[in-house]
Amino acid sequence: MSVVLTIASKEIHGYFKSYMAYILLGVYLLISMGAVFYSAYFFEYNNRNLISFFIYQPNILNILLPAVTMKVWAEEKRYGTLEFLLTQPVSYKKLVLGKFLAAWSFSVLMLLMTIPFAVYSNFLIPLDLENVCAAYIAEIIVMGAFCALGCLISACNSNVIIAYLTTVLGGWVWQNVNFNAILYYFKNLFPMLKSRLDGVLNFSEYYQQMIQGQMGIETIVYFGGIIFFSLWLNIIIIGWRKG
Amino acid sequence: MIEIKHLSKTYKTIKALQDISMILPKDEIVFLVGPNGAGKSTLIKLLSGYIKPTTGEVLIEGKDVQVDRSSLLYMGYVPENSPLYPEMNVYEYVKYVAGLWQMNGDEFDQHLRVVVDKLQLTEVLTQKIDTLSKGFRRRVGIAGALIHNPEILILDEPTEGLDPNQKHEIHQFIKEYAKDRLVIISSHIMEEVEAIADRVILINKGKLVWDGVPEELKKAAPDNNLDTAFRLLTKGDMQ
Repeated sequence: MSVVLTIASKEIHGYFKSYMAYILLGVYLLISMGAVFYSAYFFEYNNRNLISFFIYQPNILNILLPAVTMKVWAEEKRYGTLEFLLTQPVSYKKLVLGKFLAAWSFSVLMLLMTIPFAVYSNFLIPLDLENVCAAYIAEIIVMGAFCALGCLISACNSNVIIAYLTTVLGGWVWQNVNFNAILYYFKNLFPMLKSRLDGVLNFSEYYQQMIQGQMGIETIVYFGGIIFFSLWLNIIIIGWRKG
Repeated sequence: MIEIKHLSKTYKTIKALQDISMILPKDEIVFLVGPNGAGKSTLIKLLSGYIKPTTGEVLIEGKDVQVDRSSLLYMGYVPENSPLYPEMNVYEYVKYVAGLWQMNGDEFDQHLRVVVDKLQLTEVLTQKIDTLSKGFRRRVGIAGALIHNPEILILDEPTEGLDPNQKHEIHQFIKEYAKDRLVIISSHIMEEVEAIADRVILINKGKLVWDGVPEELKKAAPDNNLDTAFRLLTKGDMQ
């Protein structure tokens, strides 16, 4: 575990040394608050569960989190340090986990910087604190899924810009495409599962429930599965890419 | 000790290495020499475990480097051009490498003092890597490879682009370090072979052409010159 923390710590220090962290944190807060007060009509709706804040988060994260994950592996390849890293006596699993944890930790820091906004909102309108806390936890899990996908795409690229653009595109597809069409044939093969397969792969189905504080086991399995599968593929791709 | 058994590497249709076998014991400075594109770096990358062979195996202290990553515990490796993290300073980089090797604080402090002293990095310890000269960057790369005091040190073209003074410093360091250890250096600079090599392995077009002491290689040339012997062996005029 100490090796994982060593890798994560190095990555996080790198974010702050390059000033990328400060810019991303500032831009995230600016866009999030702008979305809350100007696009989501914060004062017009019942925001006891801060729906105006959470409703736009996937779109915002889809633009900003790829900026965190794009360099995770692509930059190692660009600088030639991937060869150094893969010849250390550290398993690929620990390397992947360390870099993912760094990206996820940073994204959680981004989210935590909105806590003052939640506290401020509680003075304006009494919040349903249970729901809001559940929504924050759900958002952390969603960020984990974004980071895992971003790290995976970074591992497939040597160019940081291409990694960023591909991650943004991939994230957009994940959020907006109706995967029911893909599941159509499975529904016919397994008619007894027809009703359960409706929307089972769709991001919006789970996210809507989560931000209303309704996080069931299916939600955890869905996002947890994306994190696990992305990290597993990431490990395979690192081993494959080394030649 | 490193044992190389029938090692071959093919990239699509290009045979980068063809059936290389050898044993590399401790207490030697081994130079892998050959013209550009001969397969030296490919062999180095195979020894370090960075790339997989098409056929054959590399055993480090009896462990297959592709199967058992604990074999890397014996090794310190500096790739070509000594890649580093430009945003780190020297101390942070060496500490990071030590962290990957799970060295504890006391062990790290002790080894750091020795490595910094040997490689004369004291004055640049807190300097950012991207502000260092090429010579210092090479030394920082070597420091990272040495911090855990490995028994095997592998250097891919460690003096490429350095001035004569810097080359001399690296040579002196390698001579001292190689006592009771194995140092493998990839190079195409024959004056380096003359300066410090115990053994020369000449590779040309992916094949092992010569394996012996530098004095014997010199005798292979009419004028007793390593450069001439290199040219004759690699241009195919003599085997």
